[in-house]
Amino acid sequence: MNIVMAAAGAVLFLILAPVLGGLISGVDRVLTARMQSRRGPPVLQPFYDISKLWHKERAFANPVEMILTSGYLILIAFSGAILFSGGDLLLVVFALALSHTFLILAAYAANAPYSTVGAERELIGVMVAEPILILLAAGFFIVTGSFFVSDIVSDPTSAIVYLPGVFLALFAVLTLKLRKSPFDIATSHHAHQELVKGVTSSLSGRTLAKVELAHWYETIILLAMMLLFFAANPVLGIIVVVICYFLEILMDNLFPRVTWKMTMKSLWTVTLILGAANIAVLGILGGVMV
Amino acid sequence: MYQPELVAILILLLVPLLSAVLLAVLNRDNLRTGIVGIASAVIIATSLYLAWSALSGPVVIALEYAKQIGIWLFIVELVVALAIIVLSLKYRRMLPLVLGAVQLLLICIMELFYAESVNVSTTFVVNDFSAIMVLIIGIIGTLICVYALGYMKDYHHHQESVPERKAYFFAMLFVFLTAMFGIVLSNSLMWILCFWEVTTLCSFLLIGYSKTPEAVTNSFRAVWMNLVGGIAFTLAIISLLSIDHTGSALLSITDIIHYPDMAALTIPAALIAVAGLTKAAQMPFSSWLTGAMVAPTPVSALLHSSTMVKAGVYLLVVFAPIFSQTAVGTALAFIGLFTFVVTSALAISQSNAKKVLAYSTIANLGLITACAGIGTPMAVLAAVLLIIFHAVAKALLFMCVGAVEHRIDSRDIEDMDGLLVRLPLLATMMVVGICGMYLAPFGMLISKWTAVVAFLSAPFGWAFVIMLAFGSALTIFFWTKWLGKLFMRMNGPPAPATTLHVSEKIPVVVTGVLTVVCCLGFIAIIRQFIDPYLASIYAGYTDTVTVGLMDNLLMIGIMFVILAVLIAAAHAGSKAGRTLAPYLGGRGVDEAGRFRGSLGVYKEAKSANYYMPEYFGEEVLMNPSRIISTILIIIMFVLAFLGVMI
Repeated sequence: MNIVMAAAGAVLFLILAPVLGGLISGVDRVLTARMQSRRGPPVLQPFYDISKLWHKERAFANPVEMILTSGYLILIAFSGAILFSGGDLLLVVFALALSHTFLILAAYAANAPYSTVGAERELIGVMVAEPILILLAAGFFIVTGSFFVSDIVSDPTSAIVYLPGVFLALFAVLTLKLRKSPFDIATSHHAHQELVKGVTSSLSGRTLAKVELAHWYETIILLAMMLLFFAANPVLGIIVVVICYFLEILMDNLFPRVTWKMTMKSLWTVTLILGAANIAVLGILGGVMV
Repeated sequence: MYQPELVAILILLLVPLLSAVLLAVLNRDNLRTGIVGIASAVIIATSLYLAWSALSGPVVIALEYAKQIGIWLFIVELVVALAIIVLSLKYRRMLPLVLGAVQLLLICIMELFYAESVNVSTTFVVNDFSAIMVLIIGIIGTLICVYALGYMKDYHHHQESVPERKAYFFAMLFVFLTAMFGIVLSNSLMWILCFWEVTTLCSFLLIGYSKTPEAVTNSFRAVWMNLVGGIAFTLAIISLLSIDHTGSALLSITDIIHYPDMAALTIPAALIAVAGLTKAAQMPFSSWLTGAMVAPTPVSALLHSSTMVKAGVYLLVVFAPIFSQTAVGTALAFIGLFTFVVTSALAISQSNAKKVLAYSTIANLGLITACAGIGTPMAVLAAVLLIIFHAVAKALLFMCVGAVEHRIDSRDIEDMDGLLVRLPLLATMMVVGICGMYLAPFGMLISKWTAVVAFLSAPFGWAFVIMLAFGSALTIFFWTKWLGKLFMRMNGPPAPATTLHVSEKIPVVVTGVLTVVCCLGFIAIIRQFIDPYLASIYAGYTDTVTVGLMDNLLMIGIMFVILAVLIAAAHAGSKAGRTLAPYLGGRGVDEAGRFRGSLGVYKEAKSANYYMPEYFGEEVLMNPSRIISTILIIIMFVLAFLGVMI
């Protein structure tokens, strides 16, 4: 892997991901509004939001929130940078877990019931998503013999051929990761969640802006992971990812009352039936014959 | 004159023993402090020297009087077995009595019928792996003993009903160290068995220290489970002796792992596996370790980090080359990973800090067991890394919990909110320990990475990876919620300054620093210790397996830098901005974070963590997993008797 290419990938990600992530978020909000027979905000609204949040007074329930949310943002950006510089997928997964720990700690730090319950449920979300992320890295390793994204993208066959189950399981977990469902964890922009923004309820101003920004980064990381399944055919990949994202919005509006218990059970079942079974089949058949 | 390495070995074996005798006799606090301090300094220095000399190649020592010493050790074994029998009679416990009698019988049979053929030419072998173990026992073990000095003072203030038997307590701790050094330094299985039994007896006596009914019950549970392991170990030796009765007996570790006909070794391998499983508290034998937490905390720290359970996994890792070629190993790996998943889930349902630590220990040992069962070079690499990182971080955590307990009068995680403000030093060290147990970029990142790679190239690797994925998701949950408690805002005023004994402060801080240093220096550990060890065990081993890990060095380094900057920023603190009362759904909240109740009275807002006992409780998971793990052990023996190879 060329070091210049790697650095370029990382830098491009760090600059472009927030732009793209913000746009996706804006389109998401418009589409959601249309599905609910509303007009919805302008597409650039997320950027206005961030800018407004950034200029608000600095106030917090616990000063340590400033550092913890910064840690969340920096580490999410860092894990994306690993991914886009062609680095190790497993490391991306571990770095993501670390970054979410920071967000959860920020919510705990307030020591307020809403915030704590939000932290607790966000933690459940991390726990629910973790297995499929590790299985994803393992699946790519079985198929291409490497954890490194640079090796995975240079593989002549798209991994989707061998890992359809893992892909579907990742798609299922995306609902959670994009903060669409369940409603009693979600920190989405909809009115239908239970916890008044759960994990972010004690954050405001800049600390909240950082969390929002980090979420854009994470959206891009997850979509890039989906794209990775179509490494040999990126055009098809982009089409599939767009469809998947649309389906996520649709699902969010169709099932607004999914609870965390339902999420935990259903997503782990999906991970087992689709993701783990996929890995098992590959393992039993003795890997990939090229 | 004796060569210096032999002198070092003898110091490691005899100094703790001598200190134990002195500590038992001289029952005065200041004398005790002196003895423990001097002995610890000597042991640490000697361990460092021995590890350093093992760097330039394994230290192999043949003793002239091995045969005579063997007889003495046989007498020690008899005494241990008799002691257990006598105590079982005294407390009228049937199961330990029967098992103790069986063990006694087996030892006698072994000695009477087979001892003649035993002729192990090398007595002590210090290879790179035993050097690591020596460092762990020598440094972590002695630090815990030092910690115990301060701890026990407070312990007897808090537990006034417990009769003070400090002399006995400290003597036992040091006997424990001797036994552990014996296990990792000896080359003959006969000798290892002797020291093995001594650790069983010591842990039994230490767990029962407080003599409460619960402590007595738990100590007998520990002893019968470990006796099962001891019996399996003895049977393994007997079956090894009957393999090659005429020539030189197959009793030294170095001979066994290079034995050409591995197919003949499946049954001893399975028996050794059971011995390792019991001592490492794997399912279905896990309950002795969770029960052991009734003992004073230094005992738990010692049992969990550097001794006892580490003896179990040491044995398994040493025999890894055999497991790698037999189906027994695969079964063992399944048991290990199954334990990892189940105990990680069980840890979620616990709010008692020591119990969470106990389950997490069992889970980690499960991973190590799995790696040993797979037995490939990469798996052994992962296992050794896990042993190191776990020993340091877990010792730190136990010491912190023990010290915190005496300051806040609770070992419940729910009572630890805002600890970073209330007890900054202890809580910071606790954060370091917790991060060391599961978070990137600390030790777990490296060991998990290696474990995943090792699993993926093993037979049934897919199943192992799936179990690892779910298990580590569960570990994230219980550690993070604990961490969250520590970071909480303190609503009330900080507790008055509490004093920490110097003898507690030093070990806690040193282990805290070691946790970070081990993570930073993992490359050096791999290059200097583990690579040479693997090269000496596996023919044709090249260190290419770790190349992937090296490629990640830069990223891991950056992660450390990011964390360091964040910590520095947090330490510097920012004065800009103001602190508001937390959000309580629009309720009126006062400065202390209390909310206005419906009658206008301000009330404390309380929040507690999730424990989800309906999914992860002991009542739900314990019995099914005992059954499943027992079935797995039976399968392992079936495979062993059939002699299935891979």
